[in-house]
Amino acid sequence: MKKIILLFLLFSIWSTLAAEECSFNFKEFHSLLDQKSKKYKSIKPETKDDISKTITQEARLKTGEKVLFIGGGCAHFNYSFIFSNVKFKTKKVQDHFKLANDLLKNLDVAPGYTNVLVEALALSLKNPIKKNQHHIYDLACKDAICNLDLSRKNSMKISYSFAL
Amino acid sequence: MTAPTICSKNVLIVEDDKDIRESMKDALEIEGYNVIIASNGSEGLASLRSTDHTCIIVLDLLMPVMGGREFMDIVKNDSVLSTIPIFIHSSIANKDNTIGASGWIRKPADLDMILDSVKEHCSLK
Repeated sequence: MKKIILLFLLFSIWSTLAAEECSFNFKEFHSLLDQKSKKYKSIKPETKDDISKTITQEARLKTGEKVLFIGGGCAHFNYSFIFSNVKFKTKKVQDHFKLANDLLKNLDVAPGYTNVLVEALALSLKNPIKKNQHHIYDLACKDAICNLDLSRKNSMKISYSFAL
Repeated sequence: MTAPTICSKNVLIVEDDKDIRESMKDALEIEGYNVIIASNGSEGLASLRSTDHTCIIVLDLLMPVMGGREFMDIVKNDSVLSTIPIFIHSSIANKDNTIGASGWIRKPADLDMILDSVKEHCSLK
């Protein structure tokens, strides 16, 4: 019994210390989607999970797509925009990159946060895009790690991650 | 008619590390400065454009979304903001990547050295 109590205490101390070690200020972080934007047909309130340190928020665009924002972090700062109900007109990856760019530009987001991804997509389009069997493409994103995930049908995920 | 009082003690800290940001903020506030904080260059620009009379910017270089170098290029090319001195506080600071800054110091740095640089540019009178 004593061992279990000791283990529990150690776990509690470890989780407290781990929580305090976060460089990212999750407490003051909010969804990047503009709740008051008229660009969205509808938008749900953000949900905040203190355990996983993530915020999620979903909006429906007037053009028919749905966007799910997931963001947060601790030692890293991450955020993703997952678009679903996306209508791919061609099978060309280049066109999918352009579509990702258009979808990002169509979001009302806190300044700067989509620019970095738009620039990364545009920069990637300047060079031939190598075929990727997993359909996840790395983007030129300065000091961060960004990628475009085209592995799911009618969906695309554009992600940003920066080690703090 | 009296001239409007210019508050020349607004300090902008652009730093992604929460602990460093908060400790600098506390230290500067104790000294009597108004401190505005931002966690990346993009937020820093927004804060800068909505605050008058910022007397100095304490800037990190490695930050998410918009890094310090990109932030500095925008500020230095802005006719209104270009006169604001920028003090770089970064683990990767060197004489080459701090061109255009009023000063620089490498992390981990003594807070007093940052305070001295702030005092040099910001009047508390």
